[in-house]
Amino acid sequence: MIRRKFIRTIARAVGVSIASITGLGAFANLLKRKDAANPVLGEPEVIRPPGALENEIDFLSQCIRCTRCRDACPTGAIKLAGFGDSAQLGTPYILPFESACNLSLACTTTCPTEALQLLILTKDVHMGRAVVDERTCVSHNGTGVCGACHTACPFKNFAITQGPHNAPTVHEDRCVGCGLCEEACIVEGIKAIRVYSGRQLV
Amino acid sequence: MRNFFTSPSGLPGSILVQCLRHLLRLAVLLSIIGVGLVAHYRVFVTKEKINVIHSEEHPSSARKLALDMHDYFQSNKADQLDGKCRLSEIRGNTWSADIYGFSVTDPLAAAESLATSRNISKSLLLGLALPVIATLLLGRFFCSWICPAGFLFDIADRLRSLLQKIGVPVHHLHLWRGNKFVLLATGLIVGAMAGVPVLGSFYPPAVLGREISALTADFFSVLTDYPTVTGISLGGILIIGIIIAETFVSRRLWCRFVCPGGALYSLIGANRVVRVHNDLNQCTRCNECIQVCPMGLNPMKTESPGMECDQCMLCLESCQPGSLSLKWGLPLSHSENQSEKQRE
Repeated sequence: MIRRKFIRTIARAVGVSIASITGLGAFANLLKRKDAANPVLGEPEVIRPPGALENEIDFLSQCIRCTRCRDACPTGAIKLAGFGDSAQLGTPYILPFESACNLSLACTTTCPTEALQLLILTKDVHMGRAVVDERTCVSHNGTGVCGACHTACPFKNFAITQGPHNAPTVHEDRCVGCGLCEEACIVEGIKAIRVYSGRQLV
Repeated sequence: MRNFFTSPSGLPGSILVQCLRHLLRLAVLLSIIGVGLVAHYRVFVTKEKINVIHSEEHPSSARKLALDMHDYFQSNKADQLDGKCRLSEIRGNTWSADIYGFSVTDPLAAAESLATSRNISKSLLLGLALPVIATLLLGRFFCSWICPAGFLFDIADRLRSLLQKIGVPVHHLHLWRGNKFVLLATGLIVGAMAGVPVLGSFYPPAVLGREISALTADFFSVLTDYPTVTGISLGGILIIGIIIAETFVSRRLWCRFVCPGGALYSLIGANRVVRVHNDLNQCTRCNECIQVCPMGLNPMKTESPGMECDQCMLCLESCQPGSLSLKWGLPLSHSENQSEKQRE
């Protein structure tokens, strides 16, 4: 009798585990899916909050998808991906043209795992780097004098320097990729200065 | 073994305990909503103030109301209150919360993080201390005392009994209890292989936290110039689906047979210190406690219900002869008693 019960339990466990491994495997694929290009930026890359692990695979395995970094963010820059967004479900990402990071670094202090590593100095942030599109930038193409990105930059005259007509030049090695310049850019639609993280969606 | 809490039926103490239990879970649910509202409200006001100054348009009435609210909160009294409470320093939900810098994390989150990254951070371990110690003492108490999703499922339970009274047919599906343990194990294995946390994506308290966070963001988003409304996503549909299933298919379907978090809490609290104790000499076999138990356990079978008991104390309230009581003793003393019982 006991043996029969034991065999039945084993059979149930094997059955349920086969079913759940199939189901959860499919679900894991859904969670890991490679998505189409970002509708605005056009590249399948994602900007993570400051202090995010360099390796995207490590970041995805460390992040437990709580909402702490978003709740801590004072500017609402951090968004959590839902279904249909380019980033993986529940992971934090930033769209600088909507709302940029002000480098408060509150998210790095509240993260319960090492997905966002604790940062103290704003110059240690490496979220990406800003690139100026000289064809659309009004100061570069000669349609006006702007300088909005230079005004917004937290590292004025260090990461962004100005030429004639306030034409901005970004120094790649000094730019932290906060995206305040992208948010401030006056060009409608696709901004003339954009942050590229170089972080491909895995 | 010492007597910890005895509550014969009819005593106001037992009703008080149930009220306390429901209020605690309601407070958890409301505070998750409140944390989201505070966080997004702060962002909304900062952004809107900038927008109003820049555009100098006439803000819509709803936005004006929100800004007026902000002005009120900026006044002296509210400022003092915020200075004392520092509401913006409470972050997250039951999956992982940051309460004035003190971290509390669900053991399932830590287990999954360990499985997927093969590495556990110090702050995660610190956050684990309180829940694990409490579970070692009290068993699976999270499910009936804190879990905000469990609160919603309890409402489904009430709805179920109401429907039964009216005469609407409801099913009594019974699955194998081991399902949730198998699901926990396979979920951790799949997570380790895939490198993404799988269980956290459908664990109801975590999903509920994420959904509330998204909905509170929507709440302030509709007040801005360019609303981006995400609405209820797949997680919200899951929660609603579970509520419907628990109403019509089986009582506490998810908690009893599926929930991987409940399985982990059961395993951690298997040898808990405080447990419901049955004095079999006084028991009249009225089966009231079996009827009332939301987890479908049998407190009469042995001296004490097994590791899946979530300490909701409903059986204590229902027991007419008063043979059930909450006792505390070292984990070994429980098992000794149980083995003696088996020998007899």
